[in-house]
Amino acid sequence: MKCNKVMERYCSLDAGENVPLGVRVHLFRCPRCSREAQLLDQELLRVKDTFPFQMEHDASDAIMRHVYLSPVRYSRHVSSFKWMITGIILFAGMMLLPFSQSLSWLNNFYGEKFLFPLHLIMGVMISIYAVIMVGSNLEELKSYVDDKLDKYL
Amino acid sequence: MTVEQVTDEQVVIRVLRGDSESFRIIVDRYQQHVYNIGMRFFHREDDAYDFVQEVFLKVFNNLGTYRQKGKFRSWLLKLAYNHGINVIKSSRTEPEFDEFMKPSDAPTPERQHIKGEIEGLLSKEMENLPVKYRVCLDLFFFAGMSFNDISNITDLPVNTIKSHVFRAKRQLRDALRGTMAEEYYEM
Repeated sequence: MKCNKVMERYCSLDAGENVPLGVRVHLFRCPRCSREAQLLDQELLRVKDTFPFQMEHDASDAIMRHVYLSPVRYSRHVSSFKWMITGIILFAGMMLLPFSQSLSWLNNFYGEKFLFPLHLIMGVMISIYAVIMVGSNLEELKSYVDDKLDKYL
Repeated sequence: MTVEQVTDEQVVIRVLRGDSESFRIIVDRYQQHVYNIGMRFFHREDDAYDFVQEVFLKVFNNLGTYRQKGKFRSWLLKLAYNHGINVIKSSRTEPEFDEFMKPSDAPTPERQHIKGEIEGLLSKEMENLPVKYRVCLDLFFFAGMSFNDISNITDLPVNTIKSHVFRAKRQLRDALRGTMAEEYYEM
């Protein structure tokens, strides 16, 4: 390849693109083109991550003030699907408890009086879980119920 | 993990979980990039600062729509570029907007702001280009973005961007040849 053609090909490379083998071989053999490519790379590297226009003052405080005044608020949201799955696992665990060896061991150790408070606590737990689940997905639940009602009415 | 190690996408997740203060990391990383786009579009520092504020507020308000498939940087810069185009469109009548998209004969602020050889050469090359292509050259030379990324941001064809970048590089190469000639002369 001729020098001019090689350098034209070199100049047409994308950012971070590998230098084609033919061009690389030419650069290896031709000191003039090699120097030219080296200078070009140096200049491009020097200018990268600099800016043609330099900000005279930091705008981040002003921007953050606007952000805090924005009506848009983000919060951690667990999807209703995840709530349902966790609830089902929790409920299934409680249902399977009478079949576990731990419960029979506790029953032997503390007697039957132990069962009533245990079931009471489990009932309270599942109720609290259900309340939190409904409370955090109230909007979703409301629109779902509205949709269903619209279909029937 | 230090602030530098946290990726943009991780910061976005933090903000979406309610940690609004983390948005400052995004602002610190990209305010200069957005300011450059603003300067290219409006040529005035005050307008560019207003532009920066508007863009970041828009980014914050639309953060929920960001899908984490592409790079956050490209998404942000695309939003900034489109906002710049929309502001220009809304503030001018249609024929004037077309004029804006053509190269201008008037002296550009690049002459006053840009220093250094390569910056000078690029500004010379840019003076003959419409504003939208100047932004492309900025994104290539100063932000180190690829042709495809720039095309995604500006919606301009890759080949058009490629040819403008090529011309600018050739200008630079020609200038560097002068430097090389001086080197040989000194030897």
